[in-house]
Amino acid sequence: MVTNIDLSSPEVAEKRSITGKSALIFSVLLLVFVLAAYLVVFFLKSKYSASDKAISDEISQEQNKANGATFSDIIDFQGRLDSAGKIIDDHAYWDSMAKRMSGYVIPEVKLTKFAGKKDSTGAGTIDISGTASSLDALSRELILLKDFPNLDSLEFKNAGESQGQTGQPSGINFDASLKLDKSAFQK
Amino acid sequence: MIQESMRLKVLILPLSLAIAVIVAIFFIKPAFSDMLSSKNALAGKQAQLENLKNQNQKLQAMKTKWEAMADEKNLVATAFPETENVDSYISEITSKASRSGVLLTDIKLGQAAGVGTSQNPDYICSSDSTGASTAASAQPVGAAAMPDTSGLQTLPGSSSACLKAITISLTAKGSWEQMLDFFKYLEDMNRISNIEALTLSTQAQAQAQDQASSDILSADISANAFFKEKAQSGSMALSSNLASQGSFNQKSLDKLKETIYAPYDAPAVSPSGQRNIFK
Repeated sequence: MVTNIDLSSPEVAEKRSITGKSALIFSVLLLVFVLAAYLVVFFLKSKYSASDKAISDEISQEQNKANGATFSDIIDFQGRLDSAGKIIDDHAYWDSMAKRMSGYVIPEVKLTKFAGKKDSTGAGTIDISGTASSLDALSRELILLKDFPNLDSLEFKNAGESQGQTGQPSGINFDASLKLDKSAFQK
Repeated sequence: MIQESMRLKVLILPLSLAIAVIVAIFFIKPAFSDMLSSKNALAGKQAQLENLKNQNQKLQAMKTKWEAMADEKNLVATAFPETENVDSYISEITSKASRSGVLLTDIKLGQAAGVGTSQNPDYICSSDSTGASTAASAQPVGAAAMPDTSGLQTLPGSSSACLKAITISLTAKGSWEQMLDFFKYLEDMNRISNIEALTLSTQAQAQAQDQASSDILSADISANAFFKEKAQSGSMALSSNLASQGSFNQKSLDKLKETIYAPYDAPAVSPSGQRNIFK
């Protein structure tokens, strides 16, 4: 028994190949698309560049405005205010200091000199010279000065008996130095 | 016909594909990259412009506010004049001296106090004064109204951010209360100045003569007054800093008002034991 088998498939018979015309149209369309894409990109690039230049000019104008004389008055004013704050923070209130010191000088002691100087940190040194009626009074005075507010250190320099001038009692002359921190000079 | 179609298919289609790929690689891709970078740069600049506009709007608003601040402007201009303005400074000092009853015997400009040295606070222009600090004169108060400004610390090369200072040395005579009064006035002057050093002493010779004269104290005072030349142009950094703050330094303004408008508090001997330490 012989069987005749048809090996050719129906799909192969129905397959349609691209024609030359459609290939041409496809090629042209492809090239047009590529060209259009390039033109679009080129156009956008040019547009962004033009905008960039315009914005750069505008930025330059705004910067000139900020750098120029337009706002120099208020910048100067703010600078002066900032400086004022710093200077006032460093303000030394010597009347308060002298009055405070007077509470730490006992009646048996009389000062002849009160010299104060501030340094760049705001702290300062007070040098005092005076006459105490006795060594006992001098020692009590020094003990009292040790409790002076915001005192960093007290240096007793020297003491010696003084011969009283006409009508003046004799006593013990002394010199001392007080190193004080910044807050001692505040109100 | 079939052969022509085959030729078209075989030649044109691959050729066009090849051209498309070449154009894409060599033209479109670089142009696209440039376009993207331009776009990004533009976005960055737009943001920068927006910030600048906002900043300038804030500054403009502050300027409008500043133009309405007549009292504060006057206060600051007096506290920190644009020039050394020595004559008005000395005039104010002499006025304070006469109000407190202190007798000014000597006024010198530009001595001591270390202006222009490394011991100054950082807000004072630091520079070698190159011998500019010479005593103006040792003259009585009446003649001090027209001082020689050669004593000014000119401080060459200083930046506009720091302050220039003039140092004034005063010698005064008065009682303990008058001296305290005078110090108080000097601290609250319209022209901001800091007393850097002072020496209070009794007059030994007077002590020997009579008791009344021994109440008189002698004071040597060294004070710094400040001035700042006006900036003719702004600065981008300062502008952006000011705009970011959004307002003037109110804290400093309040301190300035508090110092200058401080109510007068007469020195008094308090019952807590404060007294004349020289008696």
